[in-house]
Amino acid sequence: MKRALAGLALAAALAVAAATTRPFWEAPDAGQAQAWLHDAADRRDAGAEAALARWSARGNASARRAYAALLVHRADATSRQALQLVLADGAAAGDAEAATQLAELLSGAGIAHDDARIVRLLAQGSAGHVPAASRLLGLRALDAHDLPRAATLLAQAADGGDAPAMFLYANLLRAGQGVPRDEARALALYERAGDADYAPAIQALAIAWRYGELGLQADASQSRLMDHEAAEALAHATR
Amino acid sequence: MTTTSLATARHRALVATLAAAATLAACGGDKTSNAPAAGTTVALTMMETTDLHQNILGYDYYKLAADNSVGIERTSTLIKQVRAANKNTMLFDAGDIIQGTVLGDYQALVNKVPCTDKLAIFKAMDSIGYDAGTIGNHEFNYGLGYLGQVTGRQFNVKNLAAPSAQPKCTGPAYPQVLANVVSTTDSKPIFDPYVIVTKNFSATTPDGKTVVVPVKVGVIGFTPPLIMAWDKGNLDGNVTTTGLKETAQQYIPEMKAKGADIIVAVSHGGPDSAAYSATMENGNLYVAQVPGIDVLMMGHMHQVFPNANSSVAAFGIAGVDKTKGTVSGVPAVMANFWGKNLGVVNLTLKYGANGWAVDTSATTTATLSTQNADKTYVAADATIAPLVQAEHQGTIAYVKTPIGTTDYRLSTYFADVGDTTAIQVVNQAQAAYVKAYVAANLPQYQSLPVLSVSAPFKSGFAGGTDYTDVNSTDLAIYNAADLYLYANTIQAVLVTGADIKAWLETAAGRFNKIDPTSTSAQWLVSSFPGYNFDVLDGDGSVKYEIDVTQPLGSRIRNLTVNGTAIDAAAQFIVATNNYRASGGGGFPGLNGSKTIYASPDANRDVLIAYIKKAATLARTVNGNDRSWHFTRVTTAGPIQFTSAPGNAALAATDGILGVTQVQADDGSGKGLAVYQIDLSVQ
Repeated sequence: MKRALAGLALAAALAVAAATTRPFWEAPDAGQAQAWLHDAADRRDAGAEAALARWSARGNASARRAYAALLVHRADATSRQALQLVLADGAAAGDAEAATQLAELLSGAGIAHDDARIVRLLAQGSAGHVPAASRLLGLRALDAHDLPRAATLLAQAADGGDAPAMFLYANLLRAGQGVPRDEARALALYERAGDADYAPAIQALAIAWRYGELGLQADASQSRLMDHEAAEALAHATR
Repeated sequence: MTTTSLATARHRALVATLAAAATLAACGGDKTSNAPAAGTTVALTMMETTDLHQNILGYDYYKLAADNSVGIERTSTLIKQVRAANKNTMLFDAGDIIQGTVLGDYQALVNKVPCTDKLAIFKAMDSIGYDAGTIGNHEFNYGLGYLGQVTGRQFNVKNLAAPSAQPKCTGPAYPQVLANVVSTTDSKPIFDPYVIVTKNFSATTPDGKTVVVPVKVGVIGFTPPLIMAWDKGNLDGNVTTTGLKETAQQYIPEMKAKGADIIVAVSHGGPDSAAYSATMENGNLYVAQVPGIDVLMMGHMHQVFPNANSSVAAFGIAGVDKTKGTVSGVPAVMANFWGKNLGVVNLTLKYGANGWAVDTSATTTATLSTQNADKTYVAADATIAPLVQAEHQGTIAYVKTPIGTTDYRLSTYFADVGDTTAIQVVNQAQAAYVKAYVAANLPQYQSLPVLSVSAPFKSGFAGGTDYTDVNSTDLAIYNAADLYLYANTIQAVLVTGADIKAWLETAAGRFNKIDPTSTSAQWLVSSFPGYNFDVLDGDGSVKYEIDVTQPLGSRIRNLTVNGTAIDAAAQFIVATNNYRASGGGGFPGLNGSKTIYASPDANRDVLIAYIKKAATLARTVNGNDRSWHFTRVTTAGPIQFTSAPGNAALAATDGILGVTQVQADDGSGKGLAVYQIDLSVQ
């Protein structure tokens, strides 16, 4: 399979080599070739983008992901429509990431909501261990005041490395909502999410240091440092 | 590499040779040699600072108070200790130098450092003596013109005059290298991509003699390619970035060909296990894989490396040894930030048939902290403060500069009992900001009311001095920091009337349930944090009561908007901060999903802008709305709370009736008094 992909990569690379700036034929494997193609396409290289679209349409999963990753940053209606189709193809082919992305896309402003379909897609994503899908289902459980289910889903998402879920699950743990109260675990989760530059978690730590919460000994200096860290994380997130 | 930097390197090498030779001669007459015998070794200690962010002195400009936990004046003490203990040392900086404190903003934006003067942080760094350093992402925050000025460069980029028409300003004395930021004008790196520094080290020959040997140390620098997104406005069209790995692959062989004996990569970033891309933020796992790099100096992540106990995910990935301190097998350090730590790499160089090589079996890495085991800090290097006194005092004067005036005292001493003098103006600033944004950018929401929430961040937790108190007719920048404590950013959430009621019910957890029939004294305020006691305001349009005789969840009464009971199903926009909007505090319905606008602007900056625009804050306009009050109830016993002593008259001035001080000292040792409030007159 890998060899076949590599062959496909090589063929596609050769097809677009003249129009791109990367030596695709030197790519060590299909993944690298796709990464380079995506990079070139991201720089508005029409040849590379067309190659990605063709690859995607032929059912190549990694090309589909690369093409979706390219389209997701574009706001024009044509790109959004193309993205929806690409993701729908992926979801139908069993791609849990695509299902989750599609659910997020369909939940966005300006798109008529088919809530049942969104929930189905999120369930597919969650079953496929996509952390964001578990988090989004967890948020729905929170809104429905089903705290135990919310805790379970957010814990899943947190375990999968989703920083916002770590933060939200930590909030439940420190309050003992839907899960036994566990401040030590909440602190560890805030720190983990903070390490991932998730600003609200760092802000929670700044507050905890200031007020001596979560088993920490109050330390104004440490709080100030965390506050600065949060400011930096926010600057990176919103700039 | 330019001729100038080569000449500078040669000059430095000559000076170093003379100095080292003189030192050794004084020690007993060992000879200087340019041709080491095979097997000759050099014990070399390389040090790193990173992410200094203009923290020179241990001082908090917002608090106008010392803060010994930060500042290069204390790192300098560690550097001197290392130099005293080791014959051969080098010092590098991994970037993010010029921005990050009020002092940085002061020199860049307020009282711009003149072309002929050196930036304060570079004065300190030059005094300490660096061998080389790189450029961090924050160096680009003030634009290429300012960066060129303070680093003594004349960039050949589109948005600046031709280099020949630019003045040659004063930069740091040490060479700054950056290989992966390229001008779109001439396709060349805007800084020297690397430098080769010839150092004359004390060495030991196989027969035990001490000699001085020249070693050529190549230093190459990198910064995160994401600067193109983070500083798009400053950089777009003027420069581009190249991938770290490809750039290293291009220059390392060139450096070797030019004679570099060993190579140090000073890279403002960390490691990341994600597949390599030319735009990845932390590409050091891949940089270190490029053959020829002997040492990696990292930064940007504001972390300590090595650190066996680190929970940082990036330090737990394959290829990174957080105990030994290696990245892709290359010895590496990251020295935290703000001068809190010093990175140290101890190397043994051995001369062989192919020249100098690092004996990897003898390499160790560590970081030293300015904080001692007993939580005290090492003494500051007394030579640093005098160098930057003018800039330090100028910054203090700046934060004291009035941005407006006020005809009333803004305080949180009685925020727990309904005083909103220090909160209302924050809410007004937030609401005005969000209203303007919605009007300009979110037409679908233009018909919705915009409300705002904010909390008394300082509400006596640490004692009688832990309250906001702006007790002056002049309002200065540091007062804004007193009014808004945290570095939050503004967010607008779309919520229903029911959501707002639930929000306020949670905030009302600030109070204990009061039994009106009890004749015993009852404490009004619970352990619910003051920073979560959100106060809703609508510039006079919102009114509500908190009935403390009711259980949690049933305390908000008579919640009205424009005189009408709030419609549970109606939609509202509420201006708040990113922490709350993301779920901070665990408020029901707030979990990041209701945000309709996440602003890049800090609540504090929005407040400063609001005060500047208003010029004068008037009690009648900004301080006496009192959107909430307690539901009147007659209690059989006294209802008590604590605040700073001697302020009962202030409560009356602010319209809070029935407040009397009953005990000047609550016995906690925190400078708090006990007050009593008559809930029947609220």
